[in-house]
Amino acid sequence: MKNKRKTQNVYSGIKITDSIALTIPKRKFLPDFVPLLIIAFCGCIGIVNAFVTMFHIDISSFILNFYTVFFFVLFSVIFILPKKMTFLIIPILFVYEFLLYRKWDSYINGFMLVCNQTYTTIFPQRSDYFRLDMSEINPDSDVKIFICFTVFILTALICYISIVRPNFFFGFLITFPLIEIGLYYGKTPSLLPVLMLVVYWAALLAVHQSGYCRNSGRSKTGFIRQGNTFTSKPAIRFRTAGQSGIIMLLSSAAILTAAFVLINISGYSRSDKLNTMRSNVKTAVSEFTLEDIGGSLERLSASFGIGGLKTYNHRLGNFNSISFSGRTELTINTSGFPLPHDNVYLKGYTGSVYDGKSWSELDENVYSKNSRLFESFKENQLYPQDMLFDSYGKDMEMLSSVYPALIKMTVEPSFFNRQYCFTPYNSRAKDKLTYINDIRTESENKNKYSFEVSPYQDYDVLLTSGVYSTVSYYSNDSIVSDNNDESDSEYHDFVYSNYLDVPNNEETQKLYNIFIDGNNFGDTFTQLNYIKKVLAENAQYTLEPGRTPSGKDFVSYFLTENHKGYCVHFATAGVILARMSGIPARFVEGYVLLADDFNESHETENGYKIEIKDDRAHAWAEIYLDGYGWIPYEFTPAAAPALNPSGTAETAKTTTASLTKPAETNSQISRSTKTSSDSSQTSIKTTGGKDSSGSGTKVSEKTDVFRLSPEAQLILASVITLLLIITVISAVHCITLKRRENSFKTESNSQNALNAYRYILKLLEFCDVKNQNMQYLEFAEFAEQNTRHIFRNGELTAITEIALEAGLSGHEITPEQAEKVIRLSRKTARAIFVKKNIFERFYMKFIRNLI
Amino acid sequence: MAISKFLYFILLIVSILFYILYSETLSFYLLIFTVSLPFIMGGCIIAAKFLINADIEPESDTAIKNGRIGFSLKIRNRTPLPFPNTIVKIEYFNNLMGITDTMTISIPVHPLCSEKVSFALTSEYCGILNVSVKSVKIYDFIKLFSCCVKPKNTCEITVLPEIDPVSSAGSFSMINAEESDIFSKHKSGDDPSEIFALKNYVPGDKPNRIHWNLSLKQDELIVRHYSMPINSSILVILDFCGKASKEDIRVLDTAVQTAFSIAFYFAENDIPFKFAYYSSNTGNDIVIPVSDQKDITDAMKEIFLSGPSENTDFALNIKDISHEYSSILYITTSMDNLSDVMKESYMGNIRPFLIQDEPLSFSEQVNNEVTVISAGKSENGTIII
Repeated sequence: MKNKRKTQNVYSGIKITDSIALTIPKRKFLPDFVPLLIIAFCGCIGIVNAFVTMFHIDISSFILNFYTVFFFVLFSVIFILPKKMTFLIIPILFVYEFLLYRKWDSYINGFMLVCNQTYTTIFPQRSDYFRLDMSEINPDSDVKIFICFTVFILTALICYISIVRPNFFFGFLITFPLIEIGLYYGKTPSLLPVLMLVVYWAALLAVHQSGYCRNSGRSKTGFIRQGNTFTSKPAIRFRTAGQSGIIMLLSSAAILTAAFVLINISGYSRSDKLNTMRSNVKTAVSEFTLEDIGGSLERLSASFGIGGLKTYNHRLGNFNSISFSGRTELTINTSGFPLPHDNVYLKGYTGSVYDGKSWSELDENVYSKNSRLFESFKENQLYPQDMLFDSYGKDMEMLSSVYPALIKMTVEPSFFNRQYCFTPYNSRAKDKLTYINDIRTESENKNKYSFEVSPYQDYDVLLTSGVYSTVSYYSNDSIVSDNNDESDSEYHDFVYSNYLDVPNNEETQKLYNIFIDGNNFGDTFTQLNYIKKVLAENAQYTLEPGRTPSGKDFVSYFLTENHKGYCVHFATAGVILARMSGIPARFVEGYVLLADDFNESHETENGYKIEIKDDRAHAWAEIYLDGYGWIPYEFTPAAAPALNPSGTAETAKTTTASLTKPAETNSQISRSTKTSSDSSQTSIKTTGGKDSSGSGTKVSEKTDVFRLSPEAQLILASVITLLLIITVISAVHCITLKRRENSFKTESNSQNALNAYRYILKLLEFCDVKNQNMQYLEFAEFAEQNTRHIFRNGELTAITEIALEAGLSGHEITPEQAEKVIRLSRKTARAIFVKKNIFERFYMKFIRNLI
Repeated sequence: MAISKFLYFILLIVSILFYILYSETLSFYLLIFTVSLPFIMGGCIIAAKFLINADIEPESDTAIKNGRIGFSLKIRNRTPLPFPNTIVKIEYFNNLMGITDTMTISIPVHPLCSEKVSFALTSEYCGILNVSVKSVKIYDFIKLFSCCVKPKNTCEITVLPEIDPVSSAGSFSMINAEESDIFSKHKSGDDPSEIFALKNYVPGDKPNRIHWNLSLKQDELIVRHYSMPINSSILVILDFCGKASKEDIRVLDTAVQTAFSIAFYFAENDIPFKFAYYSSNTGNDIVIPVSDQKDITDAMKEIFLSGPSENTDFALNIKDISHEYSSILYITTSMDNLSDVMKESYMGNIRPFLIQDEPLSFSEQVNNEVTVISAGKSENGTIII
């Protein structure tokens, strides 16, 4: 018969006897425990020196290493000795506790001194954590005492974990936190100790993976049998554990040494690109928020260079409050003269369609239907975006007596601002731009782009003039022509068709009825002023307006219920009310460059360099004027931080209506999801500095403070909780299995058989085969009938008979009988396990701990 | 190992993140170390693949059913590297049954040495026990990679059945056939064509049988003992039928044991006979003469190698040869085959034995013609022929 069949759960007639013997050669050179000692030594020396050098603890390295070596030798000897001799640790611990008791005050002083040193190393600007009267303590002695007692414990733990019960996870958990507290804050220990620590971890991992454990039950040698699987007992693996550990140690040391040589020879230094990426990642992490998780993840991945910044959350009313971190968003360089007469609005995003809870752009179909119009823009190279400059800016340029008449301005956005081209109004691009419909432009070079900007940035004059004198947009002559020029009418129609739309619902109707109906003044300027006044009267500026409840219209909730908001609220409401009044309007987000920024503090050799911070982020409205195109209009009440010069941040700490602060823009502003308890003060978050000025003092990059946003902390806490749960479940599982195995290995065969029989009953209960007042043998037959896939005919009955004999007869059963019961119990568990699906298996294994 | 790979992947990501976020050179060292780890482990595993081999050897080529069958697994490591996690999978099956089982042994492999793992099997059924090392899986120190070494040798051990006590009803005995070419190996006779033995003279020996030449040389009287020609016309037929299965294996095993016991009885009693069975390897009916135990062992081995078959013609072919023998002991596991054979009127010289998996007493006469033997219980009873 040539065919071989593999059949699970089918008895092949071939049994394996339990006697497996392994013959290995005799040890040749060093005792087997020497490699483990070397590994433990690396760990002890590494961690102690790494900690001390990282935080510059004031202790002599000779004394430190003396303590370490001394305790290492002490514990090594104890742990190497036979298990019976481990009792020697008791008197040592007794002496330790006695000495600790005697030197308790010095120990505590030493602890506080070390804490202070650690704290001030991490936070140099801060004072000591513990206030100590230096006249009453002896710092040198106290620090030594503290270090001595601490090294004792540390060395004991490391030696135990490395020699007796090698466990990588515990070894890592004991040693890593001591250096992590410094690494987290950018502190670096001395290279050699930390590399020794790395080598120790690698070697410990190898020893752990070998499966060695010094204490492996009553019998050290032999094999553990589980069905047809024989595993050598942990003590057999002693030699190979040490050997693999030492080889891993030497390999790791060789790699790190080679790396050291390579780095020093090649003169390696970190690239700027990497530093930039690091900065971007830090920013993205600090701004991570669950409220805008899509955008947050996108920014995070973009900071790593994965994907780009595409999505942009223009949802309205999602945030409870906003705050600023003082980060630079744009860097503006100007050269020469003139200087702007007014604030310069740098336009980024334009929202055209309002749906009650967000802004979006016009659908592409709308532009497709007017393709002829937009094609003509392209043909004539005259775009709506340039209308204002072409009609107003150029005029003023020609009329101006200042030469040159335009400000040369270069804009360098930060990493997260590169998806938009922040264009000043009334300007001419010096670089090649791509015009996106009639809403915005895009620069080829997203990192830097230049404009020539008209210094005249006040557009009220256009509104108050009453007559919107226009240059015929399609003529090359700078002449005043009638508004009724047919050449402009097509775009006029387009604007009036698309930029007057408001949601058609009850809430909008209500707004119209309350604010607009009967209050249409006809004149644009007057109407806009009226709307501005309505907004000021009906709402209070604050950075903590709270979320807009879902289902409610953003503007309606703002104006009729909440009455609180920041620039986004005011700008959106202004646009909607303007549209209701028949004035085409759009929503814009961007940054504001103040006229006051051009002061001595920003002066450079060639002109001015101004770093626009995140508190200059702003939202405003754009109003369409025939002939002039789109002009910015401010609906937000005065004195927002975006509209205030830097350094006046004290005003930012109150949330009165008079305080206007630029609120959210394109999520560069860090957002807090909870209202601060001291909500009377607007929190301006910095990245860890003591001050919180409006300009955003941030902790110097050198200290590398890396704070997590609350959302990131929540995620981290969730992950840690999950890991803890997994650890607890795994621990319970391991302990239960261990206990069960031990219950099968007691001195009494009868007891072993009974424990195994009870285990079988538990397994049957798991399969819903329960003994309902049946006799034992009767139940056995019943169970066999109901679990044919587990038991052969008569198998369970035979085992039950053995169990009965074990439990009821006066004599001890034979080891073979006990083994038979134990074997069947394991076979039963396996048979049940393989029949279950993956969830049932998980439940059986980790919740019920049955296998 | 999947967990190790997953953890390493996590470690690599953490190292990369650490390298990006931590501005000191330490992060670069760690990155280099993490990236280098798989290469080192891979190198170790490649060395193991080519420099570690394994062999398995049995202690003996034959064994008795339920007896200890010892094996030695030798693993030779020619690398200076230890491999604490080595898993050896040993596959074994009884070709009569055809069910493969696997045994897994997890051992550490020490560097630059040969180590031996001794283990033993017992087979509840007879047959050819094939034992081979399916694979030797070697993991690196941190279980990132593994390699498989697949030794090619296979051990074949013939597991012979136990011998049941057999008693004869007196119908089988050695026949003294004067013209037979087969001579008794145990008993002397009067056929001068074959010398049985040369022994010293004992009073009562026939003087004409004294070997004078040899006696002169030996200085003592040496007497020739002549052989006794024997003959027998007994045929023992072992008719396997049906596929081997968990239920049938005991029946097949009992059938083989019955045949083996009967054959052994004949051999012990110096009764030559012939053994017939169907070879599924060749597709032919095989009839072999048996005169001693070695012939029986060889025949058994052939039967095991052949194994059971589904051929039902074998039973019908018996009628063609039945007239050549004075007694035919027909051992079958199939009631159908037995029915076919018993239909024939010449059945007077056929003694059928039916092996069944019924909880009957050991041996039961059915209709005074068929002996039914219960599978698995033969050790308790005596076969009566």
